[in-house]
Amino acid sequence: MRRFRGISWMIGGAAGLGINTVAELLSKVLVREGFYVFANIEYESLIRGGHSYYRVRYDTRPLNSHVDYVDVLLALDDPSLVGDGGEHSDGHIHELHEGSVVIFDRESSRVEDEVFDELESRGVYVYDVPMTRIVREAAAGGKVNLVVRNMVGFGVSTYVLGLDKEVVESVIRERFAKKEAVAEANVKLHDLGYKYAMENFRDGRRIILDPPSTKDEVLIATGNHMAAAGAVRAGLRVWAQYPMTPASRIYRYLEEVKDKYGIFLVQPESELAVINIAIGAAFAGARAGVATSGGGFALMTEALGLAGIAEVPIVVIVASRPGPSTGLPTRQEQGDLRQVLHASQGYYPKAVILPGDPYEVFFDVANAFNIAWKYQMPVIVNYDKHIAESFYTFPYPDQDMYVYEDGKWLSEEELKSIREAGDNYKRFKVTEDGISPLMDLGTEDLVIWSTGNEHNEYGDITERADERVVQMDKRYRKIETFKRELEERFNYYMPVKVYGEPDAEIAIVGWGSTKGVILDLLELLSEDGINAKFVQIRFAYPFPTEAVKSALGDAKLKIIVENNFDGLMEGLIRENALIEMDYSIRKYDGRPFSLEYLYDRFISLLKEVRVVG
Amino acid sequence: MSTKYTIRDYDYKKPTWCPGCGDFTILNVLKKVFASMGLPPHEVVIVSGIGCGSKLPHYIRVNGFHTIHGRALPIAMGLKIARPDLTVISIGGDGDTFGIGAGHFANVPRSNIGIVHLAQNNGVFGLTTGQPSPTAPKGFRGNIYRPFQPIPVALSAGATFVARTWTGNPNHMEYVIKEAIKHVQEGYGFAFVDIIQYCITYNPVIFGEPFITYYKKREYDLQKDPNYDPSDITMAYKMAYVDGDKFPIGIFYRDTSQKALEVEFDLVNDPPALRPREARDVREILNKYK
Repeated sequence: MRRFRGISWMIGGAAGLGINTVAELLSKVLVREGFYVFANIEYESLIRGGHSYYRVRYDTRPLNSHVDYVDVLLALDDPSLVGDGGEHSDGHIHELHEGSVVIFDRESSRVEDEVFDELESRGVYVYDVPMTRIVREAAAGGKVNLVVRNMVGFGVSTYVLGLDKEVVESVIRERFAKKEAVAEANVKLHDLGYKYAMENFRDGRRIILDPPSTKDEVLIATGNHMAAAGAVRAGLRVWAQYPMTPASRIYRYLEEVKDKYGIFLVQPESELAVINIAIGAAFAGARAGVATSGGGFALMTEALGLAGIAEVPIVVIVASRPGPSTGLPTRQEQGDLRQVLHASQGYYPKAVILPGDPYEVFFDVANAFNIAWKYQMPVIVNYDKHIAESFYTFPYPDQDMYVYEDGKWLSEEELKSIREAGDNYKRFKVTEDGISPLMDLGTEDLVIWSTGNEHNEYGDITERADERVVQMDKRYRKIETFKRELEERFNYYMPVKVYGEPDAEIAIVGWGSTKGVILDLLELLSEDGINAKFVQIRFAYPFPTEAVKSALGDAKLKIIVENNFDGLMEGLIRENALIEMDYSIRKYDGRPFSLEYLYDRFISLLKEVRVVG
Repeated sequence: MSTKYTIRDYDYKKPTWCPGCGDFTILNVLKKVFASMGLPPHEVVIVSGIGCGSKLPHYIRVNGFHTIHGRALPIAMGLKIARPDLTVISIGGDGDTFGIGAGHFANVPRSNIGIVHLAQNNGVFGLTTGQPSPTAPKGFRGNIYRPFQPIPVALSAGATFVARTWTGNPNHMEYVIKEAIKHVQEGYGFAFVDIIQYCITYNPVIFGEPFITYYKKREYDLQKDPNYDPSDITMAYKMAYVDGDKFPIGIFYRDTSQKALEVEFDLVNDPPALRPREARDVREILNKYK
């Protein structure tokens, strides 16, 4: 089993056993110690039971992907080790290697002795820790809550990983800051695990990485955290959302800050209501946004066209999961690109932005509001579960890199001249750049008419052929104007990014969440002496055709990596840039690309086409 | 109330409705209500769905947003959240309100947002040439459903003002719509008015009788009944099912014990859409993830 840099820790257990808490605590501890962390969860669509597992991979240098092998496995139940016959899990025993550590409670387990004999013969070291008994004893006859075995296992983990106990305890206290008694109970349980490991496994295997000598100013957060922060940064006023994995948590993160920032949050009866509430609020002049996944977005489709023709600025975040229909509700796929691009009947201007990690999500969501308001159109930010719910370590975003840019509003003087001319406000005034100036509702003596029907400049319904053409062209001119802005401010919006040697002969193309694993792949390839570059496409509409062409340049081998079945971006490139990819690497099993999976497929592809021997 | 506005101040385009359509009555009554209440055109917003009646915003000089089928209510709700200082009226047909938009009709009132919803209820889809609507009787043009009951549903959905009027009695309609707007202005929340009308082209006859004659004969004004108490929801439910010989009109239910959403969340004095348009300092949020 080939290992890559850094350490890979995993916690496994049934839903409800508290695996998220421990993984997130550990991630935070590691970041406080100066490490870079990438942590991602796999879970089922159920509340209790089943099998979930959370990977935390870390190193002294930035890393952006997970690996399939496990250096330290904290298995809270039997299926995490040996599976349950495949119903929920095949177990993680096969992901262990010579040198791995397992933390397990054998006395509360039914796993047969042969399994442990086999592990020993493979060079896997087992910390047999009676986590259940420790919890029972700690309860001292009081009420026993077996969920807190997770904290005992956490204690064993931090011992094995050689982490600073003071840092660990401060992170636990921070997490449970609102309930001191709970915080102290958790600190104690962690301590019991830590001490048990130290006292009973004096010569036990430990997997210790020295923290880096300097600490960078970083954050550890998910894409959903940064979506909420980005929306607030951009002056969000009204947010509507119906729960749907993996977008649901954005609502919670906004709820935590809504009072401070004066944001009105509503969870209405359906995604139909969600998008229409947002349209109503935006029509009234408030920055409004929504978030959903593919299914909820499908329900929003018709209203999106209304926002398109009535030129209402709204921001829609689509955090994808595998479809069709309910598909794999808690898993990963990049399958909605065409859906977000082509949602609703007829042509209307829009922007579709594809951030590749939480850092990008922060700025892309904030800028989505600028774009929506400047161009009075829907802006969709599409990422996926892997970005939405995985914890990335990234530089602390400099919020000043985002500049608030408002739409074009009529000045007092312009309003006066409309009144003096005895005219009405032209909501859809024909202009050179296609942008019709906005006016606040309630403006003295002037009213706004708008409609989802085709209309004239005043917003009156029209069925005239000439007025239809004038308005269609006017709306499209907004895209031409926006395209010019994208070109002029290329470095602000970054519709395409290139990593690695710009003149490398191998170009790897990707978008969205494959960014992380492709970046880590580039590093491995360069160690192998293979010169490659990564072309990240960040806008699906308007498509950055020229930038894609020049980024691909004269690359002799163009390989696209997509976490979907039908090569959606590959088709978009072909359609817009008339460029054919040479090969594609696709994955549609509902799971993200791990580093070794992508590396293996990439190398075998290169062998197949004889680039490497 | 100021009387500085006249009906003519609300005039705009000429409607495209069939001559004799009840929508003309509704349009004229709305203008009369706005003028007599002294509502400046720029401080009123009408949000409509899709259908003949939903074209109404194009024929009146107040702010108008003519949207998509069934979604007038949530759009009006979002608008009112952002601009609670304005008078927001949502209007839609029976298909809009009780059919494709039924999910909103069952839920928006629960929020008690301060908007007036007017249902133009004529039992038929006129614009698409006369298909049965949710309030059409069973058997009407192949309708397999029993008719939707707007009043009890509105009561169950938590509307704090529930009324019915009809296009054959414009004075009554004026009274009811005015009361509905007042209910909202006073901060009591969601008001629903079911407006019974006919479709002169596709549904002009009610059980063999001309629309006007049929309802004129049976009209029963709740507010003229000294024993009727609109604050009693059980009376309202009972009256909601009265049908046949008696056609109850007027305010079925009025609850002044609830606060409107925009009052409860104190949005009225600080409308979200009028707050400063600027970037916010989010370092406090980012710091949580350090």
